[in-house]
Amino acid sequence: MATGAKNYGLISMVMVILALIPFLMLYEMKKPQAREWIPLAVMAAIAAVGRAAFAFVPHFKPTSAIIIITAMVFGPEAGFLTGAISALASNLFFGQGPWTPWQMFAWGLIGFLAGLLSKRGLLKKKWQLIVFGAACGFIYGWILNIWSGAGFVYGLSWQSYISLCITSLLPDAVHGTATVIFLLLLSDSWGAKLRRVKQKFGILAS
Amino acid sequence: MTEKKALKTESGLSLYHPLVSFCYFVAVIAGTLLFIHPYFVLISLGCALLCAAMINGKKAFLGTLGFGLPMFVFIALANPLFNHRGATILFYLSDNPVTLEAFVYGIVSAGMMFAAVVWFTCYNTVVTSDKFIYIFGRILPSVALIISMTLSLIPRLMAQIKVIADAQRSIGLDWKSGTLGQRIRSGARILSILVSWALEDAVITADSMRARGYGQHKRSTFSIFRFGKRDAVMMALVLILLAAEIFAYISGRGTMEFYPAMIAPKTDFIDVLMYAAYTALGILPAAIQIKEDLKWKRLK
Repeated sequence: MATGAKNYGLISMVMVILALIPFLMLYEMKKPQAREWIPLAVMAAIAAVGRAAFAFVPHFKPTSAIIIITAMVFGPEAGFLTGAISALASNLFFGQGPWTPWQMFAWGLIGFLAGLLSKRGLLKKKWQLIVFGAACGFIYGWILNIWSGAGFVYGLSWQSYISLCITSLLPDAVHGTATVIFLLLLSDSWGAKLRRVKQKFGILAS
Repeated sequence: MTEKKALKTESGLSLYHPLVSFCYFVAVIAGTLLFIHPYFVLISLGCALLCAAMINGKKAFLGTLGFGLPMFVFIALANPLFNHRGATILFYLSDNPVTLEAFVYGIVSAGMMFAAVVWFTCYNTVVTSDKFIYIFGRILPSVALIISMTLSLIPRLMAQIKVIADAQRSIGLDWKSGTLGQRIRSGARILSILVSWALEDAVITADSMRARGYGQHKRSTFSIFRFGKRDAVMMALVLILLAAEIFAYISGRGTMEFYPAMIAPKTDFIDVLMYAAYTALGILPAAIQIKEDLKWKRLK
């Protein structure tokens, strides 16, 4: 194999794209009906628009909160899909780049986790929602730091990764705070709206 | 979109089959991310800038530079600060050594990232979203359809946001004024109103789709793409150059030793061949464009 500088940039990118595939296949295998996925397309589009609308405050975005709310109503697979697609779609404004698959994975994972936790009844209480929302800022940041580390700094080591995470502490905290604020502002009303649509039209009964 | 712009985007590589242009960008971007080597990075960056200048239009190209150059400087400086490996110590910064090797590596990897970003801007011009969906619609039809739906929803939602925001302003709830807290609250309210509107609208769309027979047959696409002889030739060329790229990487010609001390890349005949192959790949879109422009001039 090649000597010299090992390239983690491409390897990590291939890995994250491979990691996206099973989640997408999971959804594909359900053979969803138009009624079932259209609300997800709407929520992904709103998450993307929300990211653009709040671009005036750096790192302060409603995207994670919108994904979490959608996942809480429609379940983990739908949550992953909404997250991944809103990342892909919002990068139409912010620019596609090597970071796109990472953002798709990070937001997809946030949606998936929110769906799982909510299924177990772990996001019912306000404090649980606050803790999870705040954690999401860091989950997102730390996943994207893997890319920053692999792309920029030779020999992705724990030290350089941790120092990257320390550098990104403030933006991640802002993102986490934004997620908590939007969850508190929106989760009740939007949850009710989504549940109503789900009930009225009989969407995603699972 | 003005007619002039429409003409501009639909030329050169854009006229080939989506599969060809998609594979082209996979090959060229993979090469960019694969080779941590000053010559390859230089080739990739040069070709990317040339290609972007030719196919993206002047304004978009300047925008790319405005974003890319600061990023280049940031990464080039960040590496020696985060990374203290290397034998040649330049100076100490709060007890951490700053090395020449890390500095050079920073410049090379910054060039690599800059090139990747510029290639992605070319990708965005050539592989439009309908082409992307055309390719992935075969493998993941439902997912591709959601993406397509989301992309078409975004401009509609933006227009609706404007309507809602105007209405809100007229009753004294302008999101553009007030404290940050008030602005965030107003922004959230606008999004909230948007959700109610969009969800109803979406389910009606779904029912309308069902009424028109969605899901009865295989879906057709808006654009019709034919894979012709010209596409086959171009595809073969891209694949051959990609094979050369993989050979260069596996034989260790695409990377350079940076740590602990730099070893200047040796350059034998095969290395030069590899540089030539990668240059040929990188310059392809510009070459197609120039060939077409010349043909157009001759015909005029």
